[in-house]
Amino acid sequence: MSNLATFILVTVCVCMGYIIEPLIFDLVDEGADESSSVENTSDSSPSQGSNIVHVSSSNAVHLDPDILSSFLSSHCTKCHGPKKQKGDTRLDTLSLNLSNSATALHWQEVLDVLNLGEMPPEDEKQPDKKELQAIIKYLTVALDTSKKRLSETGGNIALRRINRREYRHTINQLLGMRIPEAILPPDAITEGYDTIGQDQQFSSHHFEDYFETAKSVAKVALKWADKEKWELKSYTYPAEIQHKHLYKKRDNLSKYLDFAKARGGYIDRRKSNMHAGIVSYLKVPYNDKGVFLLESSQYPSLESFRFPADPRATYQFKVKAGLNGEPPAIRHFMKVGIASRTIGYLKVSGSLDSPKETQTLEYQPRFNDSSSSSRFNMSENKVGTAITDYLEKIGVSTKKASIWVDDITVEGPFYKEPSVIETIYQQTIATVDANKSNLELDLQAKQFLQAFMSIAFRGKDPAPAYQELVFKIYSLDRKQGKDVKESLNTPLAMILSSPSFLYLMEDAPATNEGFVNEVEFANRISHFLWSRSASGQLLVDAKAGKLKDKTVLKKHIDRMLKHENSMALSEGFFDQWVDMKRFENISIDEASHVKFNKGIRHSAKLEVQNFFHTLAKENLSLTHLIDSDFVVINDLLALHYGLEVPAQEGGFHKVKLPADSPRGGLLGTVAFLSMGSNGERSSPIIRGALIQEKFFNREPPPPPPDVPELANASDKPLAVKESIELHQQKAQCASCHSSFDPLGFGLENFDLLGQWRDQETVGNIGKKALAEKGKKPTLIPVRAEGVFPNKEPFHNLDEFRAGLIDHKHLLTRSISEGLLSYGLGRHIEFADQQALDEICKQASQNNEQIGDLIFSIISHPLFRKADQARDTSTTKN
Amino acid sequence: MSLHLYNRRTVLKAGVTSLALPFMESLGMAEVASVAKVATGATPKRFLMIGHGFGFTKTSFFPTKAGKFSEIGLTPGLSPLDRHKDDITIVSNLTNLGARNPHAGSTTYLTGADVGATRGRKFLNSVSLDQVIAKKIGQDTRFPSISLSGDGGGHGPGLSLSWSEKGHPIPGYNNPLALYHELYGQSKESAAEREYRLSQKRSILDAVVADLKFSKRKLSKFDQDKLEDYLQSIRQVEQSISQEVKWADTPKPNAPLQQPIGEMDGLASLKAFQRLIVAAFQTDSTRVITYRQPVETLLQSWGFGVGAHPLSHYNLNRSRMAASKLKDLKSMELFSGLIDLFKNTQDVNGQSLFDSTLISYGSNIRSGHGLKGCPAIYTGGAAEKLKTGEHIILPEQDTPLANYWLTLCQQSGVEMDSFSHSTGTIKELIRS
Repeated sequence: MSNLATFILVTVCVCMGYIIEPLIFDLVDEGADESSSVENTSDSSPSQGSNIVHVSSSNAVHLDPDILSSFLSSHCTKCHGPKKQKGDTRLDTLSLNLSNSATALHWQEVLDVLNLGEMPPEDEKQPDKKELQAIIKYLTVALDTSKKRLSETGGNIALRRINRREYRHTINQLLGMRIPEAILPPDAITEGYDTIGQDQQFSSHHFEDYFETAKSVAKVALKWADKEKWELKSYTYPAEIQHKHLYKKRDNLSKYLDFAKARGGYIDRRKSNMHAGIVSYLKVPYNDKGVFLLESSQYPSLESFRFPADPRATYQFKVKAGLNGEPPAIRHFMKVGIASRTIGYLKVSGSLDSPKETQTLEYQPRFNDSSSSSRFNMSENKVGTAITDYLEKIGVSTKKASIWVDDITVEGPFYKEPSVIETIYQQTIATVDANKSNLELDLQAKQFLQAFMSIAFRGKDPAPAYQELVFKIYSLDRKQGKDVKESLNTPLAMILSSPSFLYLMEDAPATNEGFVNEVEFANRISHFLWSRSASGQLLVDAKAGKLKDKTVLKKHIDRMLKHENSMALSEGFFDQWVDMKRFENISIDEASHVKFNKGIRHSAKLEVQNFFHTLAKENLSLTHLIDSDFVVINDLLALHYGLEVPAQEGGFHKVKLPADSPRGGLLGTVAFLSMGSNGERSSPIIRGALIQEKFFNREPPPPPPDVPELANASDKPLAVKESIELHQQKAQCASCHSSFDPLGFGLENFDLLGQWRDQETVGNIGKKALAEKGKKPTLIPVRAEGVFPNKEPFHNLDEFRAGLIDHKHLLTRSISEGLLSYGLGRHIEFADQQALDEICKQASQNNEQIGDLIFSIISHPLFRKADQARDTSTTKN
Repeated sequence: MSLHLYNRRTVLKAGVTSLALPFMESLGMAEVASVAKVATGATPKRFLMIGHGFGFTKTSFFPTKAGKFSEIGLTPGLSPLDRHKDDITIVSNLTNLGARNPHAGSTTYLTGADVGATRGRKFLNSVSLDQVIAKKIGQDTRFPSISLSGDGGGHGPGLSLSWSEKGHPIPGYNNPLALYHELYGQSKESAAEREYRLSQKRSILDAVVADLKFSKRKLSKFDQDKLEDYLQSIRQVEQSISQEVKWADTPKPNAPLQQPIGEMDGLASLKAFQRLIVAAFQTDSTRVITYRQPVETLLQSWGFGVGAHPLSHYNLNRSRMAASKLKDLKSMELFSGLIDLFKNTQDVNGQSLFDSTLISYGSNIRSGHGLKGCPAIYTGGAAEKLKTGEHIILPEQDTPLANYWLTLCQQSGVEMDSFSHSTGTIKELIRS
């Protein structure tokens, strides 16, 4: 163990042939402390020692001499061997055991010069491409694995903070308010799940942001804490009211123009244009009975429909509308928003003469939606360009609006169960007559704070000194003349930015097995599945010690997965497993790909979440990610995919696919397919890398820096396949690309927007550019052909899918590892492989059903295991 | 009277450049800015570090010959800098030795760390240059340093170019309006109200520390380290309270520019930040600024149909190559415009801001996936002895970028013996 400590002490940065001064980080010292404290632990309590898993030489990567030696002896050791040590480098004595960073970095240096093409030098015999490719591939994978091993901590779960998704859900649970996530600083900035404590940071801006956020949300929550529930009402706003406003506006503008003309000189062009616009609008039939959705705000706008809203509740929104004439199907959708936030898209049917009601959109007003009233805006769904350009692109010659709104209806409020703040306010402060005794009120206020603290801290007792200080803040504000609610604001914000709330604190294990206690276990489960603290029956059963009973536990897991709160698992785990950030950041030029409109972007993200939610809720096999006989889509996606959706209530539905449909699975979603593009065309390279990572559980190593450039740009338009083969001309690239590029071809029948195609265009030149040159694009048939890593070929999408199904054990492993990492809040390490084997074995016995898989993860001892590095000698006294 | 004396003293110390300026103008500026803090004498030095993200087009951006630009001329990519060609310097053969990720132009640009090299950690950065400088010269201004950040596109992990002493990412302002309010927003609070608020804040900090200490007793060493982060952040909040108290009686300066609008695209936001950077130096609100420039949104404002990453792999076809060259050109136009702003603005002492500032522009990434020979441009007059107006090719390939930072800082009067992986200074940058 002392050897280990010395390795940690010095981190050497080696680069390009010489060793730079040691780069000593802050953490180096901590690293040293850490290992010595581990030593102390085992010294003071030997019984614990055997349980501790260390990064030891046993899991270190060993390079295989059989693979390396022939290459080294024929290309390297002549100059870097026993006789000569050019550049002070000798490779024949370099250790093959990558048990420390220094050795790994030496080998990294070897790989670097190979990648650079610097070695062997030009005047020496060169390895052939295959030989070089093989050696680079071998070293790349070995060093990548070694890097992971060396970053392991021995299964320690670093204390983790609730991330901003969890914060949003927990605030909703405690205060009943909906907050936008962007209000808080982003969490981890590196790869890995946002639940992983080791990668989370906490700096002063976090504290300030958490405190200020909590303060403003708590203020609103306190205001509503004792308000009576409102009656369910339906608010209808006939759109023709807009008509009156328009007349008024026209008259005002007329007056201005008359005046300006009389005065002579400058006339505001904007005002005169607006006037002309309104005048011509007012001549359009039906303008007096409703509102046409036009782009420009000069024309009628529906924004002014306001009504008071209760931020504790949800509302249902719908529209009665009709289509103007017979616009193409892509123009049948309208976007509905409140301020800058989108609440959804609605499909319009009916006509001007007989408008029809749309489906409904449900939403909860945000806590800060100004003075608790909602202000809607509606527009036609399109891409971000001006409407005239858009219409030209979709081939519509008329400039007419396509949607006409007759009226809007909002129904609500619909209340959920009361939030924590409402409940305890009711039990404490609300029991006192506010006009009576200040003494009694303050006593109740303290009771209120105490109760709130206990729930916010997940059942842990706050320090007495802490409680005193919280009460002191309350009392001081009261002395300043503030009322009870005002004085409770800062104390609540304090509680919600204290470590005991922000961190998932777990006590030292009370049992010999080293498990967390039952309430902590329940909190792990609840954070895993619902991204919020344990509550309700789960908490009750945990306190009663009933979660040890597997039947009880199973019941809870099943119930929780079926509950709508488990959307949090889709938004949290699955989004990150799929890497949906890629989708959000993809820049597809909307002007040339008009089908990739705002509505499709919005729906594509939700489709992926709803698909996984359906799998989890219905306990379906995770092979559905490869292929499924259904999709979970809304009307917009149905149009995009060319599918029929049976008329139902709004939102996402499970829709059975026709037998000959190529859709199905994650592989068939527009989100997955478009993130596998470079923004201009489909990218088999990116798709292949994603498939290798997700479906073969093998993340491609990061690209090496400084590889030699590919050949220069060519004038000749290339087919995608040719340009990718070009990409593999260098051994340095081919060493990894040759394994995953071919996988990407399996999905080539889907274009960058995820639409089916039988032919592809050669070259990258846009249609417009070609038309200008008087050329027609060259089309060739798509060939979805490639090979799997085991060299089995495939010739079309069906064979590709079948091949992935044959490898389903790798997908199972990939999902299981992901779930375990997300659920435990730490990286998965070498030492976890046995537990994962057990979990995966069970999954394959259960047909890879996701609900069962989640249950076997939660019921596995690993999921209950307390932090292994916990120092038990200083437990609570 | 004291104002008069102070100005005379400054003028005497500031040397030739400021003597050339009308005396009254400098006096006027001092009044406008209502800053009386520069009384220490020497002209303050200012530092601006700009991160570009993905690299430049290999064939058309980088000069190949060494020498004065007036003699060797500028490459097509650098041509917008023509009017500043006697003031800019480009240094070749630098490499950020810590950088390994060919998609991260900014993560370690100012730190030089190898973020993957610490055992037991997936990612760990080290302190950035601006924070080191701010620690030495930041105490004289209201804001010791300011970090700005646009969206991603070749920057890599991080929230700005700045990283704290523990290697944590420091978030950057991404909204010009918010920065404007921070710099020039006047508080309506009375002294008594402020006192109450600050004392309340102190009690709040006491309370959360009490909670922390209580929890800490039950935790392992690993967990205590995590909570140490929290404690550290509380200490920083305490320091910011002290900073607020220290500056409480000094009103914020009047804004020398219009309030920016709320929402803007990449280009408008970059230009607004350029004006704010200059304004912040002009009113001596800070002397250290880092700016991680927007990339993706900037390309969008320019109407590029292709994203930053595919664009950085320009060598696959001609149309992308052309777009990549255009991107270089437009970026340098913006940089050139910023230099104009610096040259045309005077600081509180009436001296050209350009003359007291060190401006650097660059990235870890040269071009495509290439990290060797990273782009490095500096300008400004903060360091008298640094060479200007030429392309310098260092004799040694892969000269550590940290040596470059060390040289630039030392020459600009920052007392530093080493920085990050530095092995020494670069004498080739210094006039003999």
